[in-house]
Amino acid sequence: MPLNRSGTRADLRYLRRRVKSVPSSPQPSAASQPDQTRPVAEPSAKSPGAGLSLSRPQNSSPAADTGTSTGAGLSLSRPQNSSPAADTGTSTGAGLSLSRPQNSSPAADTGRSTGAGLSLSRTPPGATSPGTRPHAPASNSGMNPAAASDTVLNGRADTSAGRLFPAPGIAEVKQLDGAHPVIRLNARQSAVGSLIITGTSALVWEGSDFTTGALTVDGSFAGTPIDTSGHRPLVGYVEADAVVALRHVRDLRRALFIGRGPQPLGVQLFDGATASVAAPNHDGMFVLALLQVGGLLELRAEAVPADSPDAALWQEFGYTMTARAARQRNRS
Amino acid sequence: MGNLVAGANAALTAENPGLKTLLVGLGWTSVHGRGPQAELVPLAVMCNAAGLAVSDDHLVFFNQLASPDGSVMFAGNEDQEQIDVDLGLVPEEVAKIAFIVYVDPEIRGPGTFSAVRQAYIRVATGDNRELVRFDVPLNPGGNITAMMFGELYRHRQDWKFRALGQGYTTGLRGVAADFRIGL
Repeated sequence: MPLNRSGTRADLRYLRRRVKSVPSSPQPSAASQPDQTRPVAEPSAKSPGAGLSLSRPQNSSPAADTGTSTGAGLSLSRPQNSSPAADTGTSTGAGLSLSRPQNSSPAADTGRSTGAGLSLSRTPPGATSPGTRPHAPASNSGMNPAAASDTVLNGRADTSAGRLFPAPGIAEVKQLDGAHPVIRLNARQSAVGSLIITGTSALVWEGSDFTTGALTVDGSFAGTPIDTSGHRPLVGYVEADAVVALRHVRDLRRALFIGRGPQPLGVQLFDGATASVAAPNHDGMFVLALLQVGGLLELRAEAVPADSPDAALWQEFGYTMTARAARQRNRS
Repeated sequence: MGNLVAGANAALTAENPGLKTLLVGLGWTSVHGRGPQAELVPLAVMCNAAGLAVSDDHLVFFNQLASPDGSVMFAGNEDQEQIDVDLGLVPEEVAKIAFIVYVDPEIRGPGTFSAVRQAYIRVATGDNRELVRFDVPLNPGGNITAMMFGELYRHRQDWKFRALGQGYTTGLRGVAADFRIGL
């Protein structure tokens, strides 16, 4: 299935940017002449191709990337082998998927289920290609249609954000863990100042142009950096704290923050709001996955084995460093 | 109507009968160093008669591109930013729309307006015929981190524009406090 690269909807007037015009032109601006309608991708079939499909889907998402079910229904499917947008790097081969994933799993980068849902999956090959991408906000399950409509009508974010499932805010969940794995920041929290993540030992990012890179707190670097127009890295470290430049939040597609303790990961926003991620224990640890959808940031705690090296986590979450020789950089 | 000075106002709809939509352009030029530089972010705040934001959703900026009613929209970047205002759609409860530019409070050297050498706000018709312009007076030595460039406001049945050029040293926090915006 090809990647959904459709742009911002232009049929809703307040969601599109003006087509540049000659300032002195006496002609009416493009604002009064709506662009040709460019609808977003039609809802995709969950199990395309000739594979076996037995499913009870929810309203499928236009941005669904994989052949996996993202609804609350039961899906028994054999996804198409050639899906370049599959998110997992955990397995290959013709896949059989029997899953009842969590409603709140759009940020999950792998086929693993982090909740109480049933997940038995064998994902399609090609999952670790450079085009790998996180799940889009696929699930409408559990979403109040009126709320979705309001969100779209209110124009608070783009259409993908208008289809987001309900998620608590940072004021409602102070600790991300298995019971409360995800929070979503509002448009202002997602865009003002710096997002600070404390307690990390490494981070990895994927930009909106699908370039990826990784950095450790001691300065080891791989992949491709993303610099902003303010001459700051989009994602980087300030001493021991990971920092995301939220002025350019839309340049960031997703990121993963890895902490190996002993202190838990902490999240801090410009408005002073904070949250933490459950500390590692003998069963494993949590990493913090960040996903940007329509300008809104979702932060999700993902349980991983404590002994997983960083490279294995990259692979598990579908990060493949973009072509640039890994190098060491001395930050001092 | 030409150029305005700080504190001056201009009658927009009274002098332009039939004026329904406005284009508000904000722009600036800055000197650039090699290190981190101040990133200026324009925003519009729709205020009630008390001068407070009608709601948090009535703050319109790059990550919240339109007001809930669709009357104020970030629409382009021919200037640094262009904002469309559909006067007919502005709710009655909105008494003024303030246009502000703040320095993004990035922790890695946020900077100030000191690097800004020239800034302006201009109001034009929907088809970009300029009505008024205000060249914002700047103090290169100051530590201004947010500035109100100007505001549209209701005057009886009409809309007027007031040039302001009022700086904040408290940045976006000060703006949020003044307008009771929850960030």
